[in-house]
Amino acid sequence: MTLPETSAAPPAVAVAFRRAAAAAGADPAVAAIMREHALTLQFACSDPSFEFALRPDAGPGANPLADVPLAGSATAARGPRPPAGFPPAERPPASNAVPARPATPAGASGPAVLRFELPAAAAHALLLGQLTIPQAAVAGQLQVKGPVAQVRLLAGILPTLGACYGAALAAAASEGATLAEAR
Amino acid sequence: MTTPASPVGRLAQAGTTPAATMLPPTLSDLAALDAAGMPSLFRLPPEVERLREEAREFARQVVRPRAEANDLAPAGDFDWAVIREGHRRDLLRLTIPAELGGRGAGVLGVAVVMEEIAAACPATALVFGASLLALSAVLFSADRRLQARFLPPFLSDDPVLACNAITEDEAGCDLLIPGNAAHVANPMTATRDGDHYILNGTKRFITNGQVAEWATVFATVTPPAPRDGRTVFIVGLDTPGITRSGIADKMGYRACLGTTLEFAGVAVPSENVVLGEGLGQGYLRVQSNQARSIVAAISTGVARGAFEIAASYARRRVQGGRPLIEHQFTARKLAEMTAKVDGARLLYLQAAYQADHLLPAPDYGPATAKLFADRAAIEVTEEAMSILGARGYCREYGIEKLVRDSFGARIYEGTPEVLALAIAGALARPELSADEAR
Repeated sequence: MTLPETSAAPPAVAVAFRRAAAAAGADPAVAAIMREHALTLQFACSDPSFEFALRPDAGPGANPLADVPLAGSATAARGPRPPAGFPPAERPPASNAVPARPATPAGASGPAVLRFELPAAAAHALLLGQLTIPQAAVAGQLQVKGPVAQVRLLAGILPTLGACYGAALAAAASEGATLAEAR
Repeated sequence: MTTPASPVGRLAQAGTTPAATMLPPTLSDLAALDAAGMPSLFRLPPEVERLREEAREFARQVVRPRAEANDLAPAGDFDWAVIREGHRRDLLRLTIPAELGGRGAGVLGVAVVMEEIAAACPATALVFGASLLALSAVLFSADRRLQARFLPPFLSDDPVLACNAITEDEAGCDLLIPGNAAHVANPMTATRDGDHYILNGTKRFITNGQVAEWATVFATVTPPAPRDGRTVFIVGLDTPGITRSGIADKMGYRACLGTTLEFAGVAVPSENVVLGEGLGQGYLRVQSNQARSIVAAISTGVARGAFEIAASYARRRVQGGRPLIEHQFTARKLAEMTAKVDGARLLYLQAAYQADHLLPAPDYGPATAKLFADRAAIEVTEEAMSILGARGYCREYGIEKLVRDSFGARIYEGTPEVLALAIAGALARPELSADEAR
């Protein structure tokens, strides 16, 4: 698994991932799957390091290069600074629910339901159909955080995302995108 | 199967077995405990609550009344009736996604079901658990062709079983410990031959091996594939060259059959490879960390079953003018026992939740849960036997069966030594290290 070297250097690949995600999010079939299951995806790539998100209807009009808050980021973990007087003197009864991550309303910002952490080369291979999610996971190339049962929904999403990625990769390479643009 | 002969067996058939009539609700009923003013850190999702209720009914109506007879049956006997009834209640398709006709349960759902069944008979729980474990390879692969060929039998009305074949004639722990693969003596081999692989070797102690329709088989591809060559195959057990033999005459877990499977020149199509050549060891880690949460639940069920019998007995049995439970020594024993059951349950719930929310599932949680629960099962059943005295030593209350059963889970799906290596390995990694210098 290697990233394309000259035709689309890593920065261009990062741009291609984000543009592909934006395009796939606008695809009616993909958006329908994601809305029905309140699914949002976040890909955190390493080597080089960049992130992109897939949300329904994040297509035309959306900024494909915009970052969204990450479930695992320090900001998201800490949240906003607590108001004065917090915690209150009289605290409500503890909520004892299984600490399931609340589903993010489709299209809303906020932590993604499923977060994929993987090397950029693995993401590249994944979207081009050269690698499957189970293969990447058992090979130690991928960690998925979130309700694992929802991973199978990607069977209806990855082909479209991959097709968008192929097109975006070619376009990004020809545009000579830069790392600064990717950020 | 014969009709249960003991008082407990007869009582159970009438629905009045001591274990069925005491402690309503049991301590596994988190929602009821919450309603009764004992809030829990955990609240099971509604669909898992439903599964737990269904499993408890199955255990009460079907499993418990047959547990003693199945335990006393000859080693080769197998009670298809209990499996048929479990299949009617979806237990053999528990993990198949709902859109494919199953119940769509995750690790948490399976674990909760296993505790309920194991409290009545851990061997019966393991029959279902081992089949689900084998199924997990086909489901995890996301390979539509494999799923189309091997899942449909589980969606029909007639029960079928699968088995997971890891342990070999000369290798058990070496197959589970990462890095020990090179030390495996005479591993089962898979040699490429055109569009087939030829499998040769012996698998031992394979739960359901005698009665399963197909097996998830771990073998080493020769010449070696990338990594260590360990590869997973789905193999129909009616394939020429396979011999089922040597049913283990076990101390406990007698209702499930541990079988030897001999493979002699078994031709397996290459499309039966799961995930790809050389990915077997990686998959085994994923599978083990899911399975350990579930086995921890089985051990929790064993401990709970013994505790419930002992607590009921201690309330009714009078010595020195007072019920046993009012005697300090017995009270102390019961208190320790229930604390261990509760602790084991919390650990397995946490581990199962992690397995449902991290892929690959982490090493630490499932290993600690299983280590603790396996030990709790042994200790709690032993204390239960001491509370029942001579009656515990005899068969009539089912305690001696649970004592024998309690030692089983200490072996399968990771011995304490294997688990300790997994736990220590996780502790050494930066995310769990308490080293201030990092």
